[in-house]
This record gives sequence, C-alpha cells and structure tokens, in this order.
Amino acid sequence: MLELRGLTKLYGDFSAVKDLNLTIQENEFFCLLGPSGCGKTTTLRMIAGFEKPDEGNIFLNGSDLKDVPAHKRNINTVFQSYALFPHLNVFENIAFGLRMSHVPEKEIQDRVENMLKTVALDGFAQRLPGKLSGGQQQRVTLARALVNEPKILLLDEPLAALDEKLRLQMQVELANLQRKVGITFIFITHNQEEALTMADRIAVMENGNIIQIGLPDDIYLKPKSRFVASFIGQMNFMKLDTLETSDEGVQITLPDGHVIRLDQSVPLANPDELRFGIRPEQLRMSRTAPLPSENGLKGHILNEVYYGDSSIFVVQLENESTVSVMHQNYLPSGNNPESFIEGEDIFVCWSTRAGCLLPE
Amino acid sequence: MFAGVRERDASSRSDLLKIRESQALLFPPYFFLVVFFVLPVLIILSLSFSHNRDFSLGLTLENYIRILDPLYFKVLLRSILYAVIATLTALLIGFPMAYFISFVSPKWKMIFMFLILVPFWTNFLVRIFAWLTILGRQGLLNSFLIWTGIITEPLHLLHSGSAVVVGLVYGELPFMILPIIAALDRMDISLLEAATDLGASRFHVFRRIVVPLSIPGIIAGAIFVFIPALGSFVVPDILGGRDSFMIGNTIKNQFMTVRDWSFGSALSMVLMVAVLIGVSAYLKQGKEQSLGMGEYL
Amino acid sequence: MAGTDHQNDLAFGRGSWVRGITWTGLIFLYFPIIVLIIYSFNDSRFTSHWGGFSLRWYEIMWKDTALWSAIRNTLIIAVANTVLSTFLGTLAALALSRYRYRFSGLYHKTLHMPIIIPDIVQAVSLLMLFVFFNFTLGLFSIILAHASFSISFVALVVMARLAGFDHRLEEAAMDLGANRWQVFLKVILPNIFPGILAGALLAFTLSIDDFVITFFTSGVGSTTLPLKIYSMIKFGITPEINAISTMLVLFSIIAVSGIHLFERKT
Repeated sequence: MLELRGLTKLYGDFSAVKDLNLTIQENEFFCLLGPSGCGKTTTLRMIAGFEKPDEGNIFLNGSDLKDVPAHKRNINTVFQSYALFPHLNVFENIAFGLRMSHVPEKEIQDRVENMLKTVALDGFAQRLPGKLSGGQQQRVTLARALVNEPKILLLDEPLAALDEKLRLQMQVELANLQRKVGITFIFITHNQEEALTMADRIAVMENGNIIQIGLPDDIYLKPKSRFVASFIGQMNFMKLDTLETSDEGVQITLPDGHVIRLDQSVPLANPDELRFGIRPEQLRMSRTAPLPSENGLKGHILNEVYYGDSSIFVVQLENESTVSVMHQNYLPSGNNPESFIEGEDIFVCWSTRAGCLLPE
Repeated sequence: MFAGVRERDASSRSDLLKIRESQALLFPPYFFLVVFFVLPVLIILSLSFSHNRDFSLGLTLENYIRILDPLYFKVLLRSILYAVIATLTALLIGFPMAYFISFVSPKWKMIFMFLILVPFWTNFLVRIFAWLTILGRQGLLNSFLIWTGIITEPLHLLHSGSAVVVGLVYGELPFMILPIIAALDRMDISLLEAATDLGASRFHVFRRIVVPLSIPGIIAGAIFVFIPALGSFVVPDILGGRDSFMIGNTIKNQFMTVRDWSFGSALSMVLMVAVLIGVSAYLKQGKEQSLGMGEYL
Repeated sequence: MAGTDHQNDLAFGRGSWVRGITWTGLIFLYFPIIVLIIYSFNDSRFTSHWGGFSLRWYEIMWKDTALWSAIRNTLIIAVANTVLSTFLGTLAALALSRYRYRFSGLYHKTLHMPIIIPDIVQAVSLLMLFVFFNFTLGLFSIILAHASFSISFVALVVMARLAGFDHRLEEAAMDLGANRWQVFLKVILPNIFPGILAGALLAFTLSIDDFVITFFTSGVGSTTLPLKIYSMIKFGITPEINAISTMLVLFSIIAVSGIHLFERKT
C-alpha cells in the first residue's frame, strides 16, 4: 500500500504539487490523469525518489521513504523517453538492475530470458536499443523495470511516443501484464482514453492537486467539476435558473423557462453556482415529442460533423445556446437509423436519469 | 576537379544550376588551401626524402634513418611520454570539472563556463610565462618555501620535465573540459535517473552510464590536448631545459639554427603521421565524420 | 517534464571528490593569472619581494613604442586575416553543406587537416613554401599563413550553423518568387550570419594569439605582439610583461563577456 500524505513540491514560487493526499492499494492499476503541468510527473518523480518533496511524506507499506534514496527504493520506473542505455544491448539493459543488486549470474540469465519471453522479445537479446522499433523499445523498458520484481511500477506516459495503432495494442497488453505479474502500477497520462481503458482507479489532477478520484465510469459519468468533465470526453453545459427538489430528484428551470427533470439525489446548492452537464452520447434527436421518461428541448440542426461510425450534430436550442448530439450512423441490426439533415427542426431528448449537476 | 555530384537527382535545370554554383563556391577556398596548405606539406614531404637543401628529388631515406639515432629518438619518445602524461592529467582534472559544471544550475553554469573560457581565450604565451614567475629560481614558490623555512636554498623547479608537463596541462586543460561538457550536455538525464531507479548508486551511475556515454567527448578532448602537446614548442622552450626538450624544439632548431631543412622536414613528417594515425583511429571508431569542433567554439 | 532542468535532487556531479577536484582545477587555472596581475602592480623589479603598489610598469608599457608597433602589426594582420578567411571559409561551408560530391569526404578531410596537424609542422612547411618561391617574409606572408588555418575554423563554425538550417526555407522562398540571389540575401545569410560572425571572431582571435606560425613566417619589421612577448620572455624579463599580460587577460574577459552577450541576443 502506498500512501502520500500532504505532499508538496515547490519550484521557486511555483508549487508544482501542493498538499497532495492519496492512497493506492496493492495490485491496483492506478492512473494519474491530467494535462501537462498539472503536477502528475512531479508526483511520480517524488515517489521514485528523483525529487525530494518540500513537505509531506510517502509511506510504502507503512514505512516512510524519506530517508530511502532512489536507488534503494523497491520501486521501478518506465520512462516516457524509454531511457534505454544506448551503449548496452537489450540483455544488459534488462540485467542492469539485477547486476546492481548482485544477483548471481545464473539467476540473471534465467530471469532476463524469462522476461524477454514475457514481453515477446526473445531473440533480441543482443541488439542495441537503437536498432529496435518504438514498440520494441517500449517493451524493453517494461522488461527492464519488471525483472526487478518491484513493489510498485511507475509508468510515465509510456505510450505517448507510440503511433495510434500500437498504442491501442499496448493498452491491452499493459493491462493484461499487470494482472499477470500482480504488481501495483501507477500510470500517468494526459490521455483520457488510456486512463479509461486500463485503470482500476483514476485520479484527475489539476494545478498540483487531485480534484477527483474514483472508478473510471464514476469519473466519466459523474465528474465533480467542469474541468474533469471537459477533460474526459466532451460535455454540454446548461445554465440553471432555479432548482427544486422533488421526490425522485430535482426540477430544474432553465433561464428560458423550460423545465427539465433530473432523477438523482443531489446535494442542494445555489443554482447560480451550478451547471447542468450532459454528454453528447446521452442525447438523441427526434422528430416526435419526447417520451414521458425523457426531457426534451426544441432545436434546429446547424451542422453535422461526420466521423464514420457516428456523427456529431450541432443543434441550436430555442434559447440560442448550442449542444452537441452524438448520432450513431449504423445499427448492428443492419437497419439504417433515422437520418437527419442540416437545417431541420427537431427535439433534443434525454433520459431524466442522465446528466449531472456540476459546480461552476 | 570539382565535378560529379553524387546520387542527388541532377536532372532538372535548376538543380544543375545549383550544382554549378556550388562548384563555383568551392573553388576559391580550395584553391587557397591547395596553395597554402597542401603544397607546403608536399614540399616538406619531398624535402624529407632529399639530401639537405637539394630540392631535386634525389630520393634518400637518410633523414628518416637519422631519427633513429638515440640522440633524436630519445627526444621523440620523450615528446610522446610528456604528451601522454599531460593528456591523462588533463583528463583526470578535466573530467570531474566537466561533470560538476554540467550539473550545476544554469546560473552557476554560466559563471563556470565563463571561468573556463577566459583562460581559453587568453594568450598562450602569457599563460605559460606566468609559470616562469611561479617556478623560477627567485619565483613565488621558492620565495614562499624559503620564507616558511622548509628549504634554505632555492629548488630547481624550472627547466625540468615536470615544469614542461605542468605547462602543457595548464595550457591545454580548457580544451579537455569543453568537449566533455558538450558530451555531458548531450546526455539524456533520464538515463541517469533510470540507472538510479534500477538500483545504481551515484558511483555506479558515474561508472556505468556517465563515463561510457561521454567517451566521444573524452576522445575529442584527448585529441585536442594530445596533438598540441605532442607538437609543442613554446612550452618546453620557455619552461623546459636541455633534458626536457621536445620534438618541436628539435624541428625548430633544424629550420632556424642548424638549417638542415631535410632532416627537419623528416621530423615534421613523422610528427604529422603520428598525429594523423591517432586521429584517424578515432574517426574510424566513432561514426562522426568530423570532430565536431564547431560546436565548442 | 517539469523540473528536470533546474532540479538535481539526485545530486549528480555533487560528490566530494568531484567538487574538490573542480575547485582545485579552478585554482590551478587562475592562480598563475592572478599572480601576474598582482605583480604587474609591484614596484620592485623582482618577484622575490613586494616593493609597494605602483603603476610604473603600465607607464613603461604605455611608452614602449616597439610594443605599440607590434600591436599595430598584430591588428593589421588580424583584420586582413579575418576578412580573407571569413570570406573563403564561408564559401567552403556553403558549398560543402549543400551537396555531397563524389569527393566530399576528401574535401571535408582537407578542411579538417589544418586544425589537426600540429602548428609547428604547418609553420615549417609554410616557411619552406615561401623560401621555395622566394616570397619575401613580412606582414603579407603572415596574413596568408594565418588564413591557411583560419579558413578551416571559420568553415567549421559556419557549417555547424548551417547544419541547423532548414533547407525547406530556401524552397519556400523560391516558391514565393525569390530568385537564387534573393534567397541567399534574404533567407540564407540572415540565418547563418551569427555563425559567420562567430567564425570571424574566432579567426580574429586565432590570429592575434598565434605565435608559432607567425614566428616562422615573419620577416624584418613584421614583429607581432606574441613575437614581442616571446622575445621579452627569452631575452630579458621585466615586469612590463606582467602589465602587458594583465591587459591581455582583461581583453579576453571583455571578449568572453561580449561573446556571451552576443549569444544571448541570438
């Protein structure tokens, strides 16, 4: 179990990380997600021991890491730039950590060879890193870290340098590998898709602090702030006029007088400080009036952005604001879905259970 | 002579134009280099195979055979010895300095670079002369030692092999430090972090990662120190004595005093070939086509 | 990655050995220079004792007409060499960095030779050239000799600059209707100008500092500052050299600061 308590790191006047608290369970695939400059790399580097926290402590299974130098921590890192030693071949790169801890030569041979098999690189032992493709280098870095059987593996945007196709493949491989080796993975990325596909839990960071932590679908469907909502996927926001609680949930009056329902229990707050948020794929367009279980607003299709499998329609509502609506272009049944054209007047509908209220 | 552009598609008219233009650009500098560099070297090459002062090519090896005379051969060996010691000493001092300087904060790095560059740009004679003031019979060091009572008679510090080596190290040290700093600056710091991460102590990071990766810089620095040290004439001339003269002094004597140009030329050719063998061994080993001088200057 | 530039919490290069050698090395580099500066203000002729503070050696230096004529010669040579070698070196750099010729390797090697070969060898071979063609030794022969090694330095510095030059800019300029000459003037030259300037500065300094090659290629009446210093060292040391040395150190401090400010601007 890894605990970060009040972790703070300053660079001059700028606090890269401030008073950060976090607990990561054993064998968890944990993801720190955030835009560049949010402090996630600094957090990772403090866990690795590359940088000293100005305040706060890091506990690994209850013991403080403060006086444990980086090279004595049972934590290994996979670097964004791979950081493979260019003068050592693949075998020696992977064996480096074992040699540093004086593992007997015979055991080094066995463990490195096993590791090469695990990452599907047997036969590449004698190559220099410069002669490998990006994906292969990526695997060597992983192998080099994992062969030491660390308590925790830190991954610093390891997939950022790979092309789209390889990245998708590696996402699956990484998740499988983590289950196989049973080591805690702490993964940092600015790519929401990577976080959602791989992580058991996600912490979203902004300005040196964690603003939301939870399961991937919690974070996706119930973002706690506009920042989280717009960082992960797309979201439409609507201003509120009044807010009334009812038995099932809340009644929201929009500034133009329309009333919508949200069947969720929400803590009461000043409506001026809240926004109603809903994702494009939670909306549908309809030529007929909304169902009783739905909210519906009249609108006018401004344009369509075609993505192949789906399209995003930009719809102007009666109150002049616009929303994005996702529309599936093909159905598994083979029937063509209803099609809409630009300029058409339609209803934008959504379930009364969908959407959320977010602080401004 | 400047014809023949390789491989690049020279079919279009504008490309042909560019090629002719480039050839026109090449001509003046290379004409100059041929007349004032290649030709002079060819002259001493032919002189080295001829009888003294006889510019006609009466081929003889007598000048080269004469180098084997212990009188001169000793000087040659001594030059190599001094140059090797000076290079190693400069490396032992220069590498830690470069390592230190490349990891200080940018502000301090600027200050240290300034401190290295000032001697680098200061007149060589003046810097060597400074040691005369320190090591001389009535120099600073002797005065100090007599004043403290450690010695009563001044020591013979000057005109010795050690004085020459000190002078060589002193004169060439910046040339060792600068290429190593350049090599260390090119090194990706995450490699050092990765090694630390994998359990290497600071010493092991240094030995296993820093040193191997700065070898191009070390070799460049060694070349920049070794070549001028081997051919040095000023340092032994000012700080050395009869028993510590180097091949540069012998060459100078042959041309300016004894006027045996053929023998002097043979000595020069030996010196030149020795240097070229060393450098080409390096260039073969490294992939770089040039020594990358440009970036240090 | 935040922090990697200005953060060295792992303390690389901070061991006590490394630190100790660095400071020792700096003392080694500066002790002799500082001694020279201090003694330039010593009223006594002798280094063995301190005769009180005095500017008399500076006064002597100021009135030394032979010294000033040597400085004049040095500057004439340096300026002429700078012009000649900057022009030729830049031409070589432009031509070599653009195309690979059949003999490219040879061209590059020839260019590196004057840097690699010991100066004494170059000095005696130039002397033989001038003797062979009965060329009178003097300012002109020194200028030619200096240019023969300065060209290479200039060319390498300019080539280093050209290596970072994006040749697509040329194509873009031509695409926008510039002719070859305009491309050179408006696109290439402004981009490599700092390199040319650095090369020129280097040629100038190399020329001012050169002793060995000048020593062998100078004639009557073409004594330069290094030759003058050499003869003062060899034949009768007076503390005047300390004063001259101090001025030269001051000069290089100014030069290094100047280069630094220049680099900051570009």
